[in-house]
Amino acid sequence: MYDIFKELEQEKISLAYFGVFNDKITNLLISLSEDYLQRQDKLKKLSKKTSFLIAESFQNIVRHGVVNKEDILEKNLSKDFFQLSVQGDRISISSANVITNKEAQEFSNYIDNINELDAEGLKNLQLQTLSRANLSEKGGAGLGIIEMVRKSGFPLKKHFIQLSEDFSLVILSMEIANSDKEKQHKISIQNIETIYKRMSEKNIIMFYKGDFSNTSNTNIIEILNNNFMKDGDINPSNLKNIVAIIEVMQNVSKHGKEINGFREGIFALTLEDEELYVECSNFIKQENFEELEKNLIHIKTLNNNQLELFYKDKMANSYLSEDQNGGLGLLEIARFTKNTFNYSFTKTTDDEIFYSIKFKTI
Amino acid sequence: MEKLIIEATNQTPEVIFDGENGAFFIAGKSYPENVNEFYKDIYDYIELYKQKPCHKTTIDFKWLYYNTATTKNIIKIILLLKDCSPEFEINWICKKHFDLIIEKGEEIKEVLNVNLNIIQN
Repeated sequence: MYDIFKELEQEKISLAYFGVFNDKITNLLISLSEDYLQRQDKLKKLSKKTSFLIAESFQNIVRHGVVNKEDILEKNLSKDFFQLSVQGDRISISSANVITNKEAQEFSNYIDNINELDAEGLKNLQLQTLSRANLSEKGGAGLGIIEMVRKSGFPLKKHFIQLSEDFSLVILSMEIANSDKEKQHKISIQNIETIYKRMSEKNIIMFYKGDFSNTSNTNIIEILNNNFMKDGDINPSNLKNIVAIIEVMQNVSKHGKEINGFREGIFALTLEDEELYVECSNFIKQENFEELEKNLIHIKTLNNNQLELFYKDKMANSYLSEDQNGGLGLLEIARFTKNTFNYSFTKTTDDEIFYSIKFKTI
Repeated sequence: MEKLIIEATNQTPEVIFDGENGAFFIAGKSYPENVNEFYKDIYDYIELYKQKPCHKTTIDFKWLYYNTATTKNIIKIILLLKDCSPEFEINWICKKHFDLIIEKGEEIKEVLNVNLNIIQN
Protein backbone atom coordinates (compact mmCIF):
# COMPACT_ATOMS: atom_id res chain seq x y z
CA MET A 1 0.00 0.00 0.00
CA TYR A 2 2.93 2.32 0.69
CA ASP A 3 3.87 2.03 -3.00
CA ILE A 4 0.50 3.38 -4.10
CA PHE A 5 0.75 6.08 -1.46
CA LYS A 6 4.10 7.17 -2.91
CA GLU A 7 2.74 6.97 -6.46
CA LEU A 8 -0.08 9.33 -5.54
CA GLU A 9 2.14 11.64 -3.51
CA GLN A 10 1.18 14.68 -5.58
CA GLU A 11 -2.50 14.06 -4.97
CA LYS A 12 -3.83 15.70 -1.87
CA ILE A 13 -7.04 13.81 -2.10
CA SER A 14 -7.88 10.98 -4.38
CA LEU A 15 -10.98 8.93 -4.39
CA ALA A 16 -11.64 6.15 -6.83
CA TYR A 17 -14.84 4.22 -6.70
CA PHE A 18 -16.24 1.20 -8.50
CA GLY A 19 -19.52 0.65 -6.74
CA VAL A 20 -23.18 1.42 -6.51
CA PHE A 21 -24.04 4.71 -8.21
CA ASN A 22 -27.03 6.47 -6.71
CA ASP A 23 -28.04 9.84 -5.29
CA LYS A 24 -27.00 8.99 -1.77
CA ILE A 25 -23.48 8.09 -2.89
CA THR A 26 -23.34 11.30 -4.97
CA ASN A 27 -24.24 13.33 -1.90
CA LEU A 28 -21.65 11.58 0.25
CA LEU A 29 -18.90 12.11 -2.31
CA ILE A 30 -19.93 15.74 -2.59
CA SER A 31 -19.73 16.21 1.14
CA LEU A 32 -16.33 14.47 1.23
CA SER A 33 -15.06 16.87 -1.42
CA GLU A 34 -16.66 19.92 0.22
CA ASP A 35 -15.25 19.03 3.59
CA TYR A 36 -11.74 18.96 2.11
CA LEU A 37 -12.04 21.99 -0.20
CA GLN A 38 -13.63 24.23 2.43
CA ARG A 39 -10.53 23.81 4.54
CA GLN A 40 -8.21 24.81 1.70
CA ASP A 41 -7.77 28.56 1.27
CA LYS A 42 -6.77 28.31 -2.39
CA LEU A 43 -9.46 25.84 -3.37
CA LYS A 44 -12.36 26.94 -1.17
CA LYS A 45 -14.00 28.94 -3.94
CA LEU A 46 -14.10 25.85 -6.18
CA SER A 47 -16.14 23.84 -3.71
CA LYS A 48 -19.60 24.58 -5.18
CA LYS A 49 -18.46 24.17 -8.76
CA THR A 50 -16.82 20.85 -7.89
CA SER A 51 -19.97 19.60 -6.16
CA PHE A 52 -22.02 20.52 -9.20
CA LEU A 53 -19.63 18.73 -11.54
CA ILE A 54 -19.48 15.60 -9.36
CA ALA A 55 -23.28 15.44 -9.59
CA GLU A 56 -23.17 15.90 -13.38
CA SER A 57 -20.51 13.25 -13.73
CA PHE A 58 -22.55 10.78 -11.70
CA GLN A 59 -25.69 11.50 -13.67
CA ASN A 60 -23.73 10.91 -16.81
CA ILE A 61 -22.69 7.44 -15.56
CA VAL A 62 -26.23 6.60 -14.49
CA ARG A 63 -27.89 7.95 -17.65
CA HIS A 64 -25.52 6.79 -20.29
CA GLY A 65 -24.40 3.47 -18.96
CA VAL A 66 -25.61 0.51 -21.03
CA VAL A 67 -29.12 -0.63 -20.29
CA ASN A 68 -28.31 -4.30 -19.87
CA LYS A 69 -25.82 -4.10 -17.05
CA GLU A 70 -26.05 -7.88 -16.54
CA ASP A 71 -24.57 -8.44 -20.01
CA ILE A 72 -21.57 -6.41 -19.05
CA LEU A 73 -21.16 -7.94 -15.63
CA GLU A 74 -21.57 -11.47 -16.94
CA LYS A 75 -18.91 -10.91 -19.51
CA ASN A 76 -16.88 -9.11 -16.86
CA LEU A 77 -16.01 -6.51 -19.44
CA SER A 78 -15.73 -3.54 -17.22
CA LYS A 79 -17.12 -1.62 -14.30
CA ASP A 80 -18.46 1.88 -13.89
CA PHE A 81 -15.88 4.08 -12.29
CA PHE A 82 -15.62 7.50 -10.70
CA GLN A 83 -12.53 9.37 -9.62
CA LEU A 84 -12.00 12.65 -7.84
CA SER A 85 -8.53 14.01 -7.31
CA VAL A 86 -6.92 17.21 -6.11
CA GLN A 87 -3.42 18.01 -7.30
CA GLY A 88 -2.00 21.38 -6.36
CA ASP A 89 -4.35 24.05 -7.69
CA ARG A 90 -6.29 21.58 -9.86
CA ILE A 91 -9.24 19.35 -9.27
CA SER A 92 -10.06 16.58 -11.68
CA ILE A 93 -13.28 14.63 -11.89
CA SER A 94 -13.29 11.54 -14.07
CA SER A 95 -15.70 8.80 -14.87
CA ALA A 96 -15.76 5.65 -16.93
CA ASN A 97 -18.70 3.65 -18.10
CA VAL A 98 -19.58 1.14 -20.76
CA ILE A 99 -21.64 2.13 -23.79
CA THR A 100 -22.39 0.44 -27.08
CA ASN A 101 -19.92 0.95 -29.92
CA LYS A 102 -22.60 2.74 -31.92
CA GLU A 103 -23.20 5.18 -29.06
CA ALA A 104 -19.45 5.58 -28.60
CA GLN A 105 -19.00 6.97 -32.12
CA GLU A 106 -21.92 9.39 -31.77
CA PHE A 107 -20.79 10.44 -28.30
CA SER A 108 -17.23 11.05 -29.44
CA ASN A 109 -18.41 13.28 -32.31
CA TYR A 110 -20.77 15.12 -30.00
CA ILE A 111 -17.97 15.91 -27.52
CA ASP A 112 -15.65 17.01 -30.33
CA ASN A 113 -18.29 19.46 -31.51
CA ILE A 114 -18.87 20.85 -28.04
CA ASN A 115 -15.15 21.14 -27.30
CA GLU A 116 -14.71 23.36 -30.36
CA LEU A 117 -17.22 25.92 -29.14
CA ASP A 118 -16.20 29.08 -27.32
CA ALA A 119 -18.08 30.42 -24.29
CA GLU A 120 -20.64 32.21 -26.47
CA GLY A 121 -21.15 29.13 -28.65
CA LEU A 122 -21.66 26.92 -25.61
CA LYS A 123 -24.20 29.33 -24.16
CA ASN A 124 -26.14 29.42 -27.46
CA LEU A 125 -26.10 25.65 -27.77
CA GLN A 126 -27.36 25.33 -24.23
CA LEU A 127 -30.22 27.76 -24.93
CA GLN A 128 -31.10 25.99 -28.18
CA THR A 129 -31.09 22.61 -26.46
CA LEU A 130 -33.22 23.93 -23.62
CA SER A 131 -35.73 25.51 -26.01
CA ARG A 132 -36.07 22.25 -27.94
CA ALA A 133 -36.99 20.73 -24.57
CA ASN A 134 -37.29 17.29 -26.09
CA LEU A 135 -35.02 15.47 -23.75
CA SER A 136 -33.24 12.48 -25.21
CA GLU A 137 -34.47 8.98 -24.40
CA LYS A 138 -32.04 8.70 -21.55
CA GLY A 139 -32.82 12.23 -20.36
CA GLY A 140 -30.61 15.27 -20.35
CA ALA A 141 -30.37 15.88 -24.11
CA GLY A 142 -26.62 16.45 -23.74
CA LEU A 143 -27.19 19.35 -21.39
CA GLY A 144 -25.00 17.68 -18.79
CA ILE A 145 -22.05 17.57 -21.16
CA ILE A 146 -22.51 21.22 -22.13
CA GLU A 147 -22.67 22.16 -18.46
CA MET A 148 -19.51 20.18 -17.73
CA VAL A 149 -17.55 22.11 -20.34
CA ARG A 150 -19.06 25.46 -19.38
CA LYS A 151 -18.55 25.06 -15.65
CA SER A 152 -15.09 23.49 -15.74
CA GLY A 153 -13.81 26.04 -18.27
CA PHE A 154 -11.78 23.35 -20.04
CA PRO A 155 -12.59 21.12 -22.99
CA LEU A 156 -13.83 17.75 -21.88
CA LYS A 157 -11.24 15.02 -22.26
CA LYS A 158 -12.36 11.67 -23.57
CA HIS A 159 -10.84 8.32 -24.26
CA PHE A 160 -12.53 5.26 -25.72
CA ILE A 161 -11.39 1.68 -25.26
CA GLN A 162 -13.12 -0.94 -27.35
CA LEU A 163 -13.98 -3.86 -25.11
CA SER A 164 -15.77 -6.18 -27.51
CA GLU A 165 -17.63 -6.20 -30.80
CA ASP A 166 -20.53 -4.50 -29.08
CA PHE A 167 -19.19 -2.41 -26.25
CA SER A 168 -16.66 0.28 -25.46
CA LEU A 169 -15.47 1.90 -22.30
CA VAL A 170 -15.67 5.66 -22.32
CA ILE A 171 -13.47 7.63 -19.97
CA LEU A 172 -14.39 11.27 -19.46
CA SER A 173 -12.33 13.72 -17.51
CA MET A 174 -12.86 17.30 -16.42
CA GLU A 175 -10.37 19.66 -14.90
CA ILE A 176 -11.13 22.63 -12.67
CA ALA A 177 -8.58 25.36 -11.97
CA ASN A 178 -8.77 28.11 -9.37
CA SER A 179 -8.24 30.81 -11.96
CA ASP A 180 -10.29 31.47 -15.12
CA LYS A 181 -7.07 32.48 -16.85
CA GLU A 182 -5.69 28.94 -16.62
CA LYS A 183 -6.29 27.25 -19.93
CA GLN A 184 -3.53 24.66 -19.92
CA HIS A 185 -4.48 21.09 -19.02
CA LYS A 186 -2.32 19.69 -16.24
CA ILE A 187 -3.90 16.30 -15.72
CA SER A 188 -3.61 13.82 -18.55
CA ILE A 189 -6.38 11.40 -19.45
CA GLN A 190 -3.70 8.71 -19.87
CA ASN A 191 -3.06 9.02 -16.14
CA ILE A 192 -6.73 8.51 -15.46
CA GLU A 193 -6.70 5.47 -17.72
CA THR A 194 -3.65 4.12 -15.86
CA ILE A 195 -5.40 4.60 -12.51
CA TYR A 196 -8.54 2.97 -13.89
CA LYS A 197 -6.60 -0.04 -15.20
CA ARG A 198 -4.45 -0.36 -12.10
CA MET A 199 -7.43 -0.28 -9.76
CA SER A 200 -9.42 -2.55 -12.01
CA GLU A 201 -6.57 -5.09 -12.18
CA LYS A 202 -6.09 -4.98 -8.44
CA ASN A 203 -9.85 -5.39 -8.06
CA ILE A 204 -10.08 -2.26 -5.96
CA ILE A 205 -13.68 -1.36 -5.29
CA MET A 206 -12.98 1.79 -3.41
CA PHE A 207 -9.79 3.68 -2.86
CA TYR A 208 -9.40 6.82 -0.83
CA LYS A 209 -6.23 8.74 -0.20
CA GLY A 210 -6.67 11.86 1.81
CA ASP A 211 -7.49 13.32 5.15
CA PHE A 212 -8.54 10.96 7.93
CA SER A 213 -10.39 13.55 9.95
CA ASN A 214 -13.58 12.67 11.69
CA THR A 215 -15.81 14.15 8.96
CA SER A 216 -13.95 12.38 6.16
CA ASN A 217 -14.13 9.09 8.05
CA THR A 218 -17.85 9.50 8.54
CA ASN A 219 -18.41 10.16 4.84
CA ILE A 220 -16.41 7.09 3.83
CA ILE A 221 -18.18 4.92 6.38
CA GLU A 222 -21.53 6.15 5.06
CA ILE A 223 -20.50 5.38 1.46
CA LEU A 224 -19.58 1.84 2.51
CA ASN A 225 -22.70 1.57 4.61
CA ASN A 226 -24.70 2.40 1.52
CA ASN A 227 -22.96 -0.38 -0.37
CA PHE A 228 -23.76 -2.79 2.45
CA MET A 229 -27.49 -1.95 2.38
CA LYS A 230 -30.15 -4.45 1.48
CA ASP A 231 -33.67 -3.32 0.54
CA GLY A 232 -32.92 0.16 1.88
CA ASP A 233 -31.90 -1.13 5.29
CA ILE A 234 -28.62 -2.15 6.85
CA ASN A 235 -27.88 -5.73 5.96
CA PRO A 236 -27.42 -7.45 9.36
CA SER A 237 -24.82 -9.82 7.96
CA ASN A 238 -22.61 -6.81 7.25
CA LEU A 239 -22.79 -5.28 10.70
CA LYS A 240 -19.46 -6.75 11.77
CA ASN A 241 -17.83 -5.39 8.64
CA ILE A 242 -19.19 -1.90 9.23
CA VAL A 243 -18.02 -1.91 12.84
CA ALA A 244 -14.61 -3.40 11.92
CA ILE A 245 -14.13 -0.71 9.26
CA ILE A 246 -15.01 2.01 11.77
CA GLU A 247 -12.53 0.53 14.25
CA VAL A 248 -9.75 0.21 11.71
CA MET A 249 -10.22 3.75 10.42
CA GLN A 250 -10.41 5.22 13.90
CA ASN A 251 -7.39 3.16 14.99
CA VAL A 252 -5.27 4.37 12.10
CA SER A 253 -6.52 7.91 12.57
CA LYS A 254 -5.93 7.84 16.34
CA HIS A 255 -2.25 7.05 15.91
CA GLY A 256 -1.98 9.21 12.80
CA LYS A 257 0.60 11.88 12.37
CA GLU A 258 -0.82 15.28 11.54
CA ILE A 259 0.95 17.05 8.68
CA ASN A 260 -0.18 20.64 7.87
CA GLY A 261 -3.40 20.10 9.80
CA PHE A 262 -4.27 16.86 7.95
CA ARG A 263 -3.97 13.26 8.96
CA GLU A 264 -3.30 11.78 5.57
CA GLY A 265 -3.94 8.12 4.97
CA ILE A 266 -5.24 5.47 2.61
CA PHE A 267 -8.36 3.37 2.75
CA ALA A 268 -8.95 0.61 0.21
CA LEU A 269 -11.59 -2.01 -0.34
CA THR A 270 -10.33 -4.78 -2.62
CA LEU A 271 -11.55 -8.08 -3.98
CA GLU A 272 -9.01 -10.93 -3.83
CA ASP A 273 -10.00 -14.50 -4.76
CA GLU A 274 -13.62 -13.45 -4.44
CA GLU A 275 -13.05 -12.26 -0.89
CA LEU A 276 -13.43 -8.64 0.11
CA TYR A 277 -10.48 -7.08 1.95
CA VAL A 278 -10.21 -3.81 3.83
CA GLU A 279 -6.90 -2.04 4.12
CA CYS A 280 -6.18 1.15 5.98
CA SER A 281 -2.82 2.89 6.29
CA ASN A 282 -1.15 6.11 7.35
CA PHE A 283 1.91 7.62 8.92
CA ILE A 284 2.01 7.30 12.66
CA LYS A 285 3.71 9.29 15.34
CA GLN A 286 7.09 7.92 16.42
CA GLU A 287 6.05 8.06 20.09
CA ASN A 288 3.03 5.81 19.38
CA PHE A 289 4.98 3.21 17.45
CA GLU A 290 6.53 1.10 20.21
CA GLU A 291 3.39 0.76 22.28
CA LEU A 292 1.24 0.03 19.25
CA GLU A 293 3.63 -2.62 17.97
CA LYS A 294 3.85 -4.22 21.43
CA ASN A 295 0.06 -4.31 21.65
CA LEU A 296 -0.27 -5.85 18.17
CA ILE A 297 2.38 -8.49 18.87
CA HIS A 298 0.57 -9.45 22.07
CA ILE A 299 -2.83 -9.67 20.38
CA LYS A 300 -1.38 -11.88 17.66
CA THR A 301 -0.20 -14.41 20.27
CA LEU A 302 -3.76 -14.97 21.53
CA ASN A 303 -6.02 -17.79 20.38
CA ASN A 304 -9.77 -17.16 19.96
CA ASN A 305 -10.68 -18.12 23.54
CA GLN A 306 -7.92 -16.00 25.00
CA LEU A 307 -9.04 -13.14 22.79
CA GLU A 308 -12.61 -13.37 24.10
CA LEU A 309 -11.42 -13.45 27.72
CA PHE A 310 -9.00 -10.61 27.22
CA TYR A 311 -11.70 -8.56 25.46
CA LYS A 312 -14.23 -9.10 28.25
CA ASP A 313 -11.68 -8.27 30.91
CA LYS A 314 -10.76 -5.05 29.12
CA MET A 315 -14.43 -4.28 28.61
CA ALA A 316 -15.27 -4.67 32.31
CA ASN A 317 -12.53 -2.24 33.22
CA SER A 318 -12.81 0.00 30.19
CA TYR A 319 -14.55 2.77 32.13
CA LEU A 320 -11.38 3.14 34.24
CA SER A 321 -9.11 3.45 31.22
CA GLU A 322 -7.83 6.79 29.99
CA ASP A 323 -7.83 5.41 26.47
CA GLN A 324 -10.90 6.67 24.62
CA ASN A 325 -12.05 3.16 23.70
CA GLY A 326 -10.57 1.42 26.73
CA GLY A 327 -8.06 -0.38 24.47
CA LEU A 328 -10.87 -2.38 22.85
CA GLY A 329 -10.50 -1.23 19.23
CA LEU A 330 -7.75 -3.57 18.00
CA LEU A 331 -9.19 -6.41 20.06
CA GLU A 332 -12.52 -5.97 18.32
CA ILE A 333 -10.84 -6.23 14.90
CA ALA A 334 -8.90 -9.28 16.12
CA ARG A 335 -11.90 -11.17 17.41
CA PHE A 336 -14.16 -10.27 14.46
CA THR A 337 -11.50 -11.58 12.06
CA LYS A 338 -10.56 -14.51 14.31
CA ASN A 339 -7.14 -12.95 14.57
CA THR A 340 -6.48 -13.26 10.84
CA PHE A 341 -5.92 -9.54 10.31
CA ASN A 342 -2.47 -8.45 9.16
CA TYR A 343 -0.49 -5.36 9.98
CA SER A 344 2.77 -3.86 8.83
CA PHE A 345 5.07 -0.98 9.68
CA THR A 346 7.18 0.44 6.86
CA LYS A 347 10.05 2.72 7.82
CA THR A 348 10.51 5.36 5.16
CA THR A 349 13.74 7.02 4.10
CA ASP A 350 12.60 10.13 5.99
CA ASP A 351 12.52 8.03 9.16
CA GLU A 352 8.76 8.06 9.23
CA ILE A 353 6.61 5.04 9.98
CA PHE A 354 3.84 3.96 7.65
CA TYR A 355 1.32 1.78 9.49
CA SER A 356 -1.07 -0.50 7.67
CA ILE A 357 -3.83 -2.89 8.77
CA LYS A 358 -5.57 -5.30 6.43
CA PHE A 359 -8.35 -7.80 7.06
CA LYS A 360 -10.68 -10.04 5.15
CA THR A 361 -14.29 -8.99 5.56
CA ILE A 362 -16.46 -11.26 7.59
CA MET B 1 -36.16 18.17 35.74
CA GLU B 2 -36.09 19.05 32.05
CA LYS B 3 -35.62 16.33 29.47
CA LEU B 4 -32.31 15.93 27.69
CA ILE B 5 -32.98 15.52 23.99
CA ILE B 6 -30.20 15.11 21.43
CA GLU B 7 -31.06 14.48 17.79
CA ALA B 8 -29.33 11.68 15.92
CA THR B 9 -26.62 12.38 13.36
CA ASN B 10 -24.80 9.99 11.03
CA GLN B 11 -22.38 9.14 13.79
CA THR B 12 -24.17 9.91 17.02
CA PRO B 13 -27.36 8.43 18.49
CA GLU B 14 -30.70 9.92 19.36
CA VAL B 15 -30.89 10.58 23.09
CA ILE B 16 -34.06 11.16 25.11
CA PHE B 17 -33.46 11.29 28.85
CA ASP B 18 -36.57 11.93 30.93
CA GLY B 19 -35.38 12.37 34.51
CA GLU B 20 -38.90 13.20 35.78
CA ASN B 21 -40.04 9.68 34.91
CA GLY B 22 -36.72 7.83 35.23
CA ALA B 23 -36.92 6.85 31.55
CA PHE B 24 -33.76 6.96 29.48
CA PHE B 25 -33.50 6.13 25.79
CA ILE B 26 -30.53 5.94 23.41
CA ALA B 27 -30.96 4.76 19.81
CA GLY B 28 -29.17 4.56 16.49
CA LYS B 29 -25.50 4.64 15.56
CA SER B 30 -22.64 5.76 17.72
CA TYR B 31 -19.10 6.16 16.45
CA PRO B 32 -18.01 9.75 17.07
CA GLU B 33 -14.25 10.13 17.02
CA ASN B 34 -14.36 12.35 20.07
CA VAL B 35 -16.71 10.16 21.99
CA ASN B 36 -15.98 11.79 25.37
CA GLU B 37 -17.24 15.11 24.12
CA PHE B 38 -20.53 13.61 22.95
CA TYR B 39 -21.24 11.62 26.12
CA LYS B 40 -20.30 14.45 28.50
CA ASP B 41 -23.82 15.96 28.44
CA ILE B 42 -25.24 12.54 29.20
CA TYR B 43 -23.05 12.13 32.29
CA ASP B 44 -23.85 15.64 33.49
CA TYR B 45 -27.55 14.83 33.18
CA ILE B 46 -27.17 11.51 35.04
CA GLU B 47 -25.33 13.30 37.88
CA LEU B 48 -28.26 15.70 38.21
CA TYR B 49 -30.76 12.84 38.08
CA LYS B 50 -28.91 10.98 40.83
CA GLN B 51 -29.66 13.83 43.23
CA LYS B 52 -33.39 13.05 42.99
CA PRO B 53 -33.89 9.72 41.26
CA CYS B 54 -37.22 7.97 40.64
CA HIS B 55 -38.17 4.74 42.38
CA LYS B 56 -37.58 2.93 39.13
CA THR B 57 -34.99 3.80 36.49
CA THR B 58 -35.27 2.30 33.03
CA ILE B 59 -32.80 2.64 30.22
CA ASP B 60 -33.61 1.47 26.71
CA PHE B 61 -30.77 0.96 24.24
CA LYS B 62 -31.84 0.51 20.63
CA TRP B 63 -28.66 0.25 18.62
CA LEU B 64 -28.04 -0.10 14.92
CA TYR B 65 -24.30 -0.31 15.55
CA TYR B 66 -21.59 1.35 17.58
CA ASN B 67 -17.81 1.38 18.04
CA THR B 68 -15.74 0.18 20.96
CA ALA B 69 -15.36 3.70 22.32
CA THR B 70 -19.14 3.63 22.73
CA THR B 71 -18.94 0.25 24.50
CA LYS B 72 -16.88 1.94 27.19
CA ASN B 73 -19.55 4.62 27.55
CA ILE B 74 -22.44 2.15 27.65
CA ILE B 75 -20.66 0.39 30.55
CA LYS B 76 -20.15 3.70 32.30
CA ILE B 77 -23.79 4.77 31.86
CA ILE B 78 -25.06 1.45 33.24
CA LEU B 79 -22.69 1.60 36.22
CA LEU B 80 -23.74 5.15 37.00
CA LEU B 81 -27.46 4.38 36.85
CA LYS B 82 -27.35 0.91 38.38
CA ASP B 83 -27.56 1.80 42.04
CA CYS B 84 -29.37 5.09 42.01
CA SER B 85 -32.93 3.66 42.28
CA PRO B 86 -34.38 0.67 44.17
CA GLU B 87 -35.49 -0.72 40.81
CA PHE B 88 -33.37 -0.67 37.70
CA GLU B 89 -34.18 -2.08 34.29
CA ILE B 90 -32.10 -2.26 31.13
CA ASN B 91 -33.85 -3.02 27.85
CA TRP B 92 -31.61 -3.92 24.95
CA ILE B 93 -33.83 -3.58 21.91
CA CYS B 94 -32.53 -5.11 18.68
CA LYS B 95 -33.83 -5.51 15.19
CA LYS B 96 -34.41 -9.12 14.22
CA HIS B 97 -31.29 -10.85 12.85
CA PHE B 98 -29.02 -8.13 14.24
CA ASP B 99 -26.93 -10.88 15.83
CA LEU B 100 -23.96 -8.64 16.52
CA ILE B 101 -26.05 -6.30 18.66
CA ILE B 102 -27.66 -9.24 20.45
CA GLU B 103 -24.18 -10.69 21.19
CA LYS B 104 -23.02 -7.33 22.46
CA GLY B 105 -26.01 -7.13 24.81
CA GLU B 106 -25.27 -10.61 26.13
CA GLU B 107 -21.63 -9.69 26.72
CA ILE B 108 -22.55 -6.61 28.73
CA LYS B 109 -25.00 -8.68 30.77
CA GLU B 110 -22.28 -11.22 31.54
CA VAL B 111 -19.45 -8.81 32.17
CA LEU B 112 -21.42 -6.46 34.44
CA ASN B 113 -23.64 -9.13 35.94
CA VAL B 114 -26.73 -6.98 35.45
CA ASN B 115 -30.30 -7.77 34.55
CA LEU B 116 -30.47 -6.81 30.89
CA ASN B 117 -33.53 -7.74 28.83
CA ILE B 118 -32.77 -8.50 25.22
CA ILE B 119 -35.84 -7.67 23.18
CA GLN B 120 -35.97 -8.49 19.47
CA ASN B 121 -38.52 -6.68 17.36
